[in-house]
Amino acid sequence: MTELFSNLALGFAVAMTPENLFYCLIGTLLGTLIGVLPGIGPVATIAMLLPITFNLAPVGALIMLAGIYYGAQYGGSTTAILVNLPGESSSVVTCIDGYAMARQGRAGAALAVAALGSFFAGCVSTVLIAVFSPPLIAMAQKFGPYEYFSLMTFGLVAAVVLAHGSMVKAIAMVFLGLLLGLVGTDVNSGAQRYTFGIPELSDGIGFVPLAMGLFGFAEIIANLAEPERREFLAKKVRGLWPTMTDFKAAWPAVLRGTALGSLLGVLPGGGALLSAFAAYTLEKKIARDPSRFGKGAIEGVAAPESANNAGAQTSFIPMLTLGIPPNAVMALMVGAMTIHGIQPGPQVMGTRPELFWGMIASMWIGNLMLVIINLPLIGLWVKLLQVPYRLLYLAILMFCCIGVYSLNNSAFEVALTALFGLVGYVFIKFGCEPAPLLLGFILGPMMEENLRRAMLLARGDPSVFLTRPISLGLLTAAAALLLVVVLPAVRKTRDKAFQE
Amino acid sequence: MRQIDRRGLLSGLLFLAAGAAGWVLARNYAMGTALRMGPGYVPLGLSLILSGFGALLILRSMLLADEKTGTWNIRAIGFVLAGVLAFAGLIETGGLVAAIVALTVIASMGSQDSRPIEVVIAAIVMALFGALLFVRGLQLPIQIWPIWLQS
Repeated sequence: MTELFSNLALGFAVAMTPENLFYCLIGTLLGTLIGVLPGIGPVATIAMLLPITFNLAPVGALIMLAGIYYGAQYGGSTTAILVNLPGESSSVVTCIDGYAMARQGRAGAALAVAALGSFFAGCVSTVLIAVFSPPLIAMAQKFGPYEYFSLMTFGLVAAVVLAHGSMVKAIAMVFLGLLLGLVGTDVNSGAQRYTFGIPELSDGIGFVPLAMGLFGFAEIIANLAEPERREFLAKKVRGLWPTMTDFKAAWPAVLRGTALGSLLGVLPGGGALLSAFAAYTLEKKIARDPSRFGKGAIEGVAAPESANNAGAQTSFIPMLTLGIPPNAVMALMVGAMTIHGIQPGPQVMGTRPELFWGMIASMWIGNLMLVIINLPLIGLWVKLLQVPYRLLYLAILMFCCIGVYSLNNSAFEVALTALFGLVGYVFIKFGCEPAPLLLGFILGPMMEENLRRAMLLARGDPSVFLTRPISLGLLTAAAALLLVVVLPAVRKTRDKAFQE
Repeated sequence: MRQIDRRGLLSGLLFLAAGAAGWVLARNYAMGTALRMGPGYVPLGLSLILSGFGALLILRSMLLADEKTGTWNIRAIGFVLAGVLAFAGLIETGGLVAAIVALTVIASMGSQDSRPIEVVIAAIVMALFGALLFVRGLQLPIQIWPIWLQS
């Protein structure tokens, strides 16, 4: 306990330096700014703002990037409530009741509850990260290649199970991702794989071109196909404070949302998006009168908004402790850390305590800043939304191109991003979720390396994965997860078949 | 024609083709044994599984209801990607300003409601802004003007 406090004290000492406070502020502001704009998710946001952090010290850079991430979550809800347009995919559910509240003239209350709920969730998840990281790190240090391989298998299974849409497609996307992850020089033998003799590919496909293409460019192309749909509220936002009845209805929802979000954020493939959806579903299920939802129920704003912020933050836990990113945003953070010469994994807390704890403390400060700064700035964010998409996408494209180019000063990677943009659009058209592919891509090389090391240590006997207790536990959990999802699906299709 | 799930069929074909390509390209990589896996072991395995799931999707699509892919926005795809490729082609020799102007002008044609005068102004403003922020402000090592102007 005393250790926890001294650790947090160190963290705050680092995060409270004027310099780092400034980076935190800039990060949260930029994050909110981009979060407000529809059509750019957090992955593209962070990727395009990455070059801004190149010249900073590693601590400052990571503080700023983390700020961009949770700032983006926050900004997304503002647009959802005021314009019925989710700024981020994790705010899709907030639209339902948030916009309904706004139409009833309760926009202020909705915004305030979203902000305060997010802040509360941010505080809780900051503490959770601080409390659970050290024991997890202690455990991770005992992990061998067997455990790592099984853990990643579990991660991929969870990502498949949690992806929406067809499960077979999600599985195929994971395998395609794993395969793409193998492009480049094989670490063990030095052999070139799938490089087509292109020197730029010998280091593998860059994560940023892939993510920016699949998420950024593909989205832009898809958005251009649809006519613009924006509803503005003529009424001014006034009466920012929720009433006492609002508070009474909202706070249990905030608690539930925070708990659910914190839990789901840690899971691979989880994070903010899933947390928000799950929290909304839960509220609707346990509500005494579910028909209120969709007509401006304050719980329908409070729960998902708390949950997505909690999920966004706890997804840092696997990345910081195990070095395994649970979702695309964290993979990008891994990339950012590597650029600054830090190899994420269990050793970071021991070797760079100021970085580790400084980042955690900065999350709390950043959440506080968001509440204080953003409520007065809402008017500005709404103005920003009046920029028409025909101009907005040009600016987004410019930032994306410069962002990708400046990573390695490589024009090849910009062209590669264009290619993945095309592929991403095809995936959208075919109904294939890109998130599992990205997770497979990140974990592919790590899994192969651990598999090969494990087989070498076990003399080619694959049964070791089942005889090591932790590894067995993880694989059993993965199998159970698959069964839980497959069984009802099987039953459902059978029922349908019977009906016909 | 009988109803089939076209999205499933097409994605199945895509995965099957990707798996087959992965197999063909990796067939000369050293396979090794389970004990000492060569560089080909994992890619060949993954390619095989990927084609398997592709085939499964194709089979399944025959049984499911029709899901169309909808219209393809060829105009947006073509111009947005051409703009990005122009940026990639120009950035090294033509400099940042030329690359941004080319990107903006070409990509703007991907939108149905783009207005020429607005695009010209946007291109100039963004080129200036990009050069000031990224090269002057953030000190990224990018040429602002074409290299043949500098020598």
